[in-house]
Amino acid sequence: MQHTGLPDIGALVDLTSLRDVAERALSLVPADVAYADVRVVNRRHEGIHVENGLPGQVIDAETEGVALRVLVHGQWGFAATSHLDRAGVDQALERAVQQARAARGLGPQARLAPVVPARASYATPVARDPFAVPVEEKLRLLVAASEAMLAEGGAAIRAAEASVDAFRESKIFASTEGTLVEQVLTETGGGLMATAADADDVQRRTYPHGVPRAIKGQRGDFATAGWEHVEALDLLAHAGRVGAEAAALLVAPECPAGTTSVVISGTQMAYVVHETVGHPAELDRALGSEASLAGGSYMQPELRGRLRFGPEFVNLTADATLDGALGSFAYDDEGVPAQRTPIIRDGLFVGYLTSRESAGAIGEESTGAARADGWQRIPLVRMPNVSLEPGTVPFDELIGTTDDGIYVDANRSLSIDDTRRAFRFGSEVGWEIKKGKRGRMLKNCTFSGRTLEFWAGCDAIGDAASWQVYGIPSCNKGEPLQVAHIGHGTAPTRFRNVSVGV
Amino acid sequence: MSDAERVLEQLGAPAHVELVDERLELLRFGGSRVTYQHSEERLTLRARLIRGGRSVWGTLATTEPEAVRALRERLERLAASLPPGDPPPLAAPGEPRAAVTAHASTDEADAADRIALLRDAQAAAPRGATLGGSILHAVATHAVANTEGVRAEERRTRAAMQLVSTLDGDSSWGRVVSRDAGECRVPELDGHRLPQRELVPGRYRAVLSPQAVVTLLATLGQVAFADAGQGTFADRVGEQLLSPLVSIADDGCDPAGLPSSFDCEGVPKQRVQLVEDGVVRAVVTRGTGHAVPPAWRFGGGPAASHLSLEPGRANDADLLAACGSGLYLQRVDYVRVVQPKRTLVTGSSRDGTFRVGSGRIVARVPQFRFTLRLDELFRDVLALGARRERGETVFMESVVAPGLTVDGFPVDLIMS
Repeated sequence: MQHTGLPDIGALVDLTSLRDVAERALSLVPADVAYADVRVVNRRHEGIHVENGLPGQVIDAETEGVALRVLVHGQWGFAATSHLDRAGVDQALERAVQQARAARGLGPQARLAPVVPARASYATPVARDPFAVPVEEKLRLLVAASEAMLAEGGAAIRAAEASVDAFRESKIFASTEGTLVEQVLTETGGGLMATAADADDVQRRTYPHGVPRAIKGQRGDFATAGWEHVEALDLLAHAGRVGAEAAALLVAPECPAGTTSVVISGTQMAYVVHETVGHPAELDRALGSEASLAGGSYMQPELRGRLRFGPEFVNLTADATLDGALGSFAYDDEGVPAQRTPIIRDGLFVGYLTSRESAGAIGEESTGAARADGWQRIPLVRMPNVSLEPGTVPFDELIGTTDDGIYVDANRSLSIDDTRRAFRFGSEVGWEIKKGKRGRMLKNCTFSGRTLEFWAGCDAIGDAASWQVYGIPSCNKGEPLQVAHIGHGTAPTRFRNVSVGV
Repeated sequence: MSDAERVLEQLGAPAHVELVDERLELLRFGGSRVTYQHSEERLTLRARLIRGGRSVWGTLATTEPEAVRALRERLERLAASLPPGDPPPLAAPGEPRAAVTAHASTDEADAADRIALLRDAQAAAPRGATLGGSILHAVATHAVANTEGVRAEERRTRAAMQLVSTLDGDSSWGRVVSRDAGECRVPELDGHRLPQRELVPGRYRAVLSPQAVVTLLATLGQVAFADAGQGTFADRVGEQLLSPLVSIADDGCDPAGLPSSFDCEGVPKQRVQLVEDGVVRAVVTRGTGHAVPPAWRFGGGPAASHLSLEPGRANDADLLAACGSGLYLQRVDYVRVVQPKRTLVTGSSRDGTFRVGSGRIVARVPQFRFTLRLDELFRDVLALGARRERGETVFMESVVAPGLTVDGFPVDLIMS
């Protein structure tokens, strides 16, 4: 077996029992099954949350199970169970096969894009195992950060929250085509959130960025890395500012309504890229498979290579091989190697995120974007890391060459239609820009627009020095709901003629 | 001794145990073909230990004694590394309420039943239309026990079907959901083959279908009706904030909804009259059976769970007549809170979006984005429907609502 990862996979977790379950499951597949795959997954999560200087929720979670997917007469069956004994696996396989047989003759048959069978293992490179860091050390950091937010924010601060979370997913993928992939993915992250309130208003500031619903366990910035990622975030250095800005927002003027230039920070751009490019590029959406729930896409197959998305200097790329990014892995949950896929090239829509089935439907190879949320869910087309490639303009120049506009930072709310054609984002904070200088703070900043008109108005992208990857562990899709962990590389970016504050 | 009690005994006092043993079966389809089927069986054990004023949570996917013992050891090590504090106490036993929460029709449904429903939907669809949607059957046994004497166990079933038909680029959507699969029949879809008209931004009278109201009411429930300083209406009890036509209750045992009789702490769900004739009367609390699990995706709770908007007297034609000239929204989508304090939300219309003229649906109009205050929407009600539908969202277990006619519904941005 080829070892593609850097650390010793066996030193992190014992995969033997998971491998045994996978091999046993595949040995039971009946003869009329044209294709089958099995995933056996163990997932751990440790979360520590501090609020107003005191420990809040402290969570240790572990889940383990097996999923079987079969293709019989071109129809899918899928069953998953947390019962890993012989009887549990037998019953799951039986349910999957029954489903597929029951659907025989209902519509066209699924065709899988070919893949070269792989036998490989991979583990996320980790400098310091987050599960081995003493809880006392984590608490010291979080309590200090929380207290700094309270100290700088003053009496207006209702909640000064700090958290760190670590996830480890150990998984085996095996298929009847001969693929056997073992992966141990470690994800670590942390963040801050200060909530300020008075009788009339509630405002918040986060660091490094805010999840729209402020979901515990998904706050802050995450990476496929160890505790070194939390150390690099330097939560303590930012805590005082976060508290002070949350309090200042209460008395800040409202963002004025109108049409103006908007410089969007890297963290806020991550959500813009996510919603206006990442999701529309999912081929299952474009093909109508998600019409009833997630929706469709303005990126229709017949527009590929022709649809003008933005100016020629706008390039967006999906890349599951990006070192340390949250959406990075070695193989997706169909055993397809991680890869780099252009989505927007020189301003034109050129590529999709695909699974084996969706790629097969358009006669192409999979881009390795099929991922499942844990053992219990079926792989769907999910974005890995979708990034706006850096431009050439230093951040100071972006501001300095803006005569009149606003600078917005950190996503607070978002909404977009089912085909991703029009949106509205709300940011935690904004600042006026007047004659190339950043002025007073503004609250309740929102911006809205039609996707293609908005991107047509992009006139400058921040340079490589201001480009950064943000890891967001809260991308929702599917029925039952699946939460994907994804990344976006972005830089501050300027857009002209944007509708704001309405 | 139940499984939950056995685990509780292993964990030692003080402790809380929640066990959910569930099976979920699903058929999804798009473009009139099956896109995937899904069967999921899982056990979730959620445990809370309190040791010397230190509270920690743990979860497992098994109740095997060895795994529970290992969890206890891990959690006690975690607890020992925390400073002592003043954690919320374990729930105390309450007076249980009765509710019918499970039906054999759902429990026994299988893959062949879901395929048969899909064939029914295909037969009922307009000629040439493509279908997307899903058919779901789920069953769960939910058990809670703690060392204060709480013991609760309930079996719950859920059947749901949602359907979108697309014809010549126009789509129409419907949804049914029930504890009883026998009630889950193919929803009627209409509105195809109407002429297309333009729409301009502005404010319109609008008829909101029951399912559109379900989504908007659930969002109001999320932001407005929680205590502990989290709900926008928590400090406005006694004020007339909504239309006198509007009365809203939260009742887990209401058979019109998707009943469940206790929450994740085992506390019986009380009926809470949240709004009466437009006046805010109360909010939900831990004590009313509205706690949420640790690390719940949608906030720290407590949270409303079973909302019911009392019906009015208007039939569907009356709602359209009250509108006169305006819009009809079959579905609203991606409704998100912009400013919780003002109940300001933004979202978009989806699928059937129609023009109303002279009290009739006369044309299709493009989808659009709206931004509005929910307190104003439920204040400006012109007519309240008599026919209610049942719905759910990812953050609200059950919502029951009629259609509404409202004044001044905003159209901000046209999609195309």
